[in-house]
Amino acid sequence: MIEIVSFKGEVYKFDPDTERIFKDGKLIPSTIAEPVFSDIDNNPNFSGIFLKEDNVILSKSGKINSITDINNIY
Amino acid sequence: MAQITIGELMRIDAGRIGRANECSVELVKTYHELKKASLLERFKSLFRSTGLINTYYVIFKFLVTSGSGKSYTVLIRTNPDFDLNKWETNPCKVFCSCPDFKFRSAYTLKQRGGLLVNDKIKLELGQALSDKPKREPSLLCKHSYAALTWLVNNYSTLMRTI
Repeated sequence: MIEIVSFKGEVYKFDPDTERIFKDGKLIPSTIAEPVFSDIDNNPNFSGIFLKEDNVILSKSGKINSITDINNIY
Repeated sequence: MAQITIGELMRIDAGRIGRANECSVELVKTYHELKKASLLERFKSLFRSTGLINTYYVIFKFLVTSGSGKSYTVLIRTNPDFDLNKWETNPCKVFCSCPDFKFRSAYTLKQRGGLLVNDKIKLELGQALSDKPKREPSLLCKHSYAALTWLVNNYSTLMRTI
C-alpha cells in the first residue's frame, strides 16, 4: 500500500496490486477517484490520485493541485 | 518514439548557451495536466486496466527576457519527479514564443517528440511545424535554454512544490 496524507489530514491509500483507493480506511469507487501515473513510456510509476469531484490531483507528496486544460495554457 | 529528455535537450551549441547567459528568467506559474494515455504493450501486464491510464504532467511557464529587453513565454512540460533528482533522464517538451524557436527549433523538436503543442501553439507555429528550417536548426533557442537551465538549477526545490 502507498499512503498519501493530504494537507487536510485525510489518509488515502493506493493498493498497486488491485489499483484500489481507500480514504480513511474506506474503499472509494473509481467514479470518485482514480490513480495517476507518470513516466509511462519508460517506467510507469504511481504519482497521485485524481479526485474527480474537485478536478484536482492529490500528489504523492500530499499536495492538492488543480488540473488545467492544456489548451488554456499559453 | 522515445521522448527527448532534459539532459539531451541541454546539449546545444556553445553560441546559444553563451547568449542564454544574458537572459533573465522568471517562473510565472506551474500548471498540472492530466491526460489519458495508452500504455506501451510491454507495461500492460503491470496494470489491471490494460487500455488507457491517467498520466500526470507538470507544465512550468516562464517569462524569459533577453539582453535586448524583449520578453518571451517559455513552456516546459515534464513528469513530476518525487525522487527530486532525475532531471537528466526526465522526458520533457518545450515551447518558446520567440521567432528563432519558431523557425529553427519547432520542426526539429517535433521530429524528436520534444515540442509542446496545444491548439494556440499549433496556430502560432503554423507552417513551421511542417516545413524544414531554412537556416541551421537548433533544438532550443536561447530563451528556452535559459529557462531549462533555470529549471535544472532549481529542480529539487520545484519538484518539492508538486
